[in-house]
Amino acid sequence: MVNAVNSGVPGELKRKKVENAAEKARREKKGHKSKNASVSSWVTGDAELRIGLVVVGFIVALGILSIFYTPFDVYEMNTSIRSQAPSLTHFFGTDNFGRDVFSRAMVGARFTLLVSVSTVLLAAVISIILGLVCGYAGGMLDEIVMRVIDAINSFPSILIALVMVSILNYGKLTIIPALVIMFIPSFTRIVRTGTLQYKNADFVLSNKVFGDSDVRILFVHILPNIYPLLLSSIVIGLSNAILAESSMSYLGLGIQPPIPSWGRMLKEAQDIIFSTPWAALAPGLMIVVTIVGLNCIGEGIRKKYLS
Amino acid sequence: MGENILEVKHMTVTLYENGEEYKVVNRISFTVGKGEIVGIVGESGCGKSMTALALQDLLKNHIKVTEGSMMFDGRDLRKVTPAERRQINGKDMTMIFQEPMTSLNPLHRIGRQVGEVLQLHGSYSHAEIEKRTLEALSMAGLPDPAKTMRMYPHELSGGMRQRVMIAMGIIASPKLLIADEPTTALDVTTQAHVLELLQRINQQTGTAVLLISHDLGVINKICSRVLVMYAGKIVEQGRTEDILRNPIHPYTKGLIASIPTRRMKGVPLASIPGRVPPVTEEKPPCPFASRCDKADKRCFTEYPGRKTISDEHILWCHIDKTGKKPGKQSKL
Amino acid sequence: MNNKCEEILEIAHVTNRYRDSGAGFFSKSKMTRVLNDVSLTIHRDEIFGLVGESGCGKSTLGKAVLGLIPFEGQIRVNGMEYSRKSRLEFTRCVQAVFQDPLSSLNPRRTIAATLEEPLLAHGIGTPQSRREKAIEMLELVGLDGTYADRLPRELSGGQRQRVCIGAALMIDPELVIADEATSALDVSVGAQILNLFQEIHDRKDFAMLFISHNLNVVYYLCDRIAVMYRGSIVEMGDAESLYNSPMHPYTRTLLSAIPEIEEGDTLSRYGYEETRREAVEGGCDFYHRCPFATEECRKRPDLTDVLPPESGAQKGREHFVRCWNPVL
Repeated sequence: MVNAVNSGVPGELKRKKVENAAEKARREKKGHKSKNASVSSWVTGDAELRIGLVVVGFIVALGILSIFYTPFDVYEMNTSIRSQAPSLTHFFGTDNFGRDVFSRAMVGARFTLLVSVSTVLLAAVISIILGLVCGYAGGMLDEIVMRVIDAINSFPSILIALVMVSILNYGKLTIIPALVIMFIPSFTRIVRTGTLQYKNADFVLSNKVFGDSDVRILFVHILPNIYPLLLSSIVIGLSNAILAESSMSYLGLGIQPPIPSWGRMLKEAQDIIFSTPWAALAPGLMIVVTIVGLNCIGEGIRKKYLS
Repeated sequence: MGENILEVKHMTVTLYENGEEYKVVNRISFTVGKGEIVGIVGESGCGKSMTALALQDLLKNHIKVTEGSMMFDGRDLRKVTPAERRQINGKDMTMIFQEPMTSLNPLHRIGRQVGEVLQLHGSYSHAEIEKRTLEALSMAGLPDPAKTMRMYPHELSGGMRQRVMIAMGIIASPKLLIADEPTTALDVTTQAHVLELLQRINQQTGTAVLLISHDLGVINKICSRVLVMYAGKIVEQGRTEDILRNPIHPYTKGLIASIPTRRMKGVPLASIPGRVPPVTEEKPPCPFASRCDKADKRCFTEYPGRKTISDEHILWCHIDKTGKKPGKQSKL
Repeated sequence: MNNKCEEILEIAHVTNRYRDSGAGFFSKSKMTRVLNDVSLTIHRDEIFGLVGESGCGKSTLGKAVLGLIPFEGQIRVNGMEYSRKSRLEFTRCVQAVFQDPLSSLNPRRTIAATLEEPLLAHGIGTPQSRREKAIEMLELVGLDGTYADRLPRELSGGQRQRVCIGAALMIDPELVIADEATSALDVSVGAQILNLFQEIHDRKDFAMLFISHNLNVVYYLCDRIAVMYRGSIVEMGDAESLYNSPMHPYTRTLLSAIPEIEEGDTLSRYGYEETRREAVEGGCDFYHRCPFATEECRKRPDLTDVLPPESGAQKGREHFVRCWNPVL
């Protein structure tokens, strides 16, 4: 066995002793320091991350809860209690059909989040594959795919949504393909850039020499090094997806009534703004809160893992 | 000052990071005589580059000289005003670096960059600047100075760029030229040329040179004296032949034994076990103790003071010529 | 096919060119030859050194042997040529250690994971047995089992390089290419690595192609050495005769430029100074700098053995020079 310790034992023991003493001293010092955490951890993203997670977690919890229970039935119209101001029974009041706004917002949360999450996840999966393959293979394939993506990017998203919706029928999930197409260009670019950066890295070369197949290199070696970058974009993408979905529903292209979605509710609230101003409060507030929360998470991740 | 152009005494450079203080250079003292070529040798993290940067006042914000004095030509560099400092840098004391590509502005022609040094340090006429630029480029060994003056850095090879750096370093006739790993990025033949160039400049103009390198061979080629640094301290210093032929400090011995030479083919190199400690690690009074095969309890508790072995050969170790002898100075 | 050939590596007339598109819009593109008709063979279990300065093509040759870049000519490792289909078989025979140990390790994978990678790529063993082999290898390279679950950033440069060497040896290759394996390390750490190479080479059977710009290191470690200049091999022979009686002017230039620490080691200064003349297309690569160039040097010489078997020289003590007027 190669004896890295070329000299006698004392030297090695001494080294270990000093190393251990030094380690202990350092650890103790560190312990004292972490008490002044608050300002510095904001700067490092911990606090932001936590706030974001709490906020978004709350909204998600509401959405999940709505599957089993809402304070009031969401579809039942009850003209006797319509347009009631917010109260203790109806947290955000009732709309002009007598439906509890809060309950509708909960269900809206569920659908909006469902649509956004599936959109972003689907877009991410497709983009990862496209980005990895284009970045790694290069050449003609890369050129063609990237130009197609550039073309998609140049269309206004609403237009694409309109086209998709008119080709397929209105369904609650019609909106998803449209939104997915919207997100593919930016995600793919991120993945592709990361792949370009890593494909010539020494360790990738090493793995090629080991005999790794290209697929293994892409998914086991390159992708794990890229995903922090992508993660932050995915989170921000989620908030954009929520906005996008809300906009589509607002325009009538998304989820159809009577299924509530935040965007839809906003549109309806707009029509009754003078009689029932609070109808817009719940969905609007929830959108804002969710988006801010997601942005906090995104920033927190970026600060923690990318700097 | 007398015969020394540079006298450094008990200089300490401290790094501030995450609320902690680390000494990257720890109370070192050395001199450079007028017209002398002195080398500093050591591995990564020994503080040799930091010493050079400290001398030139190029340390970044979180690294500072916290102790000691640096007397240059009779003046304490820690006490000069910024205006005086600007006068000294580039004119009386200049520095050349390892990477000539990043040390030169890619957007300016060579002539302009070299001449700029003079412009900053006095009022010379245009013609005078041009004349001296040509002289400096020629002295630096560039074959066609007039043509080179009009070229851009990317048009030159690494060796030529380094010569341009040297020209910039000598154009104002400095008293001391600090060269920080000037040949590490160069091929061995180019390296030989550049080292000879430094030697020639030293002989012709009397400019003292402080040469920093990790390569003892490079030091041996032109330095008359050498300082061996380890983890922020000087462990041995003396005339180059002395140190190479008769090293006493275990680290110096280990370093020399780590270099494969013609005589050692097939014989395992007597390498030093362990690794160079990072700056952030806590070190015993003698920083080499944990890797030293001759260390004993004393080395971990008591700082080895300076021992004069012979004229100019100075040692910082508890050991003496033959073995361990507590607390005695000894001569060869 | 795995029948044991005597020559583990055969490089035959390998050339590598790339088209440099030229600086401006209208400049013509230039063909640069990075490797120019290179041929050499390495015997089983020998340590073969490849030296040269930057731009001589030594690293490119290493990459070509590994199948990482395209080239013209033939390269056979253990009788096999590299192709996409033979990738697995080929990589079983030849592995590599690169210059920068930090970037050669996947920063997100543990040391054990990296060590097991070659086994995984070739479908060898079970998770259990792979792990055991990884720990064995850690010990062989002078580390211990506690390093298995650490990440590269927790290790020092020398330790990382040991891991890289271990990873290269995991599947028992016949040939290991070391490309500037000690150049990025401190002197004392580099010495440890050289010792490690020597010791492992004594224990296991494999040949090494040791690429470096450091002439002393190459002399120390290698049995035979080839000197490259501008894409060609200019001199090749066993280490002793190459260093003690170098014949090519470039080799002499190189050896005399090494800054030594021991007196009497430097070859007497050789006119590498300012002999400069116009290079000639198709002439000797060193023509523009050679103090001994004559008219016939305007034509590129072949690599010839100045100690051919007929002359009674020992077998295996060939000494090739690419020069019309070698210093004999």
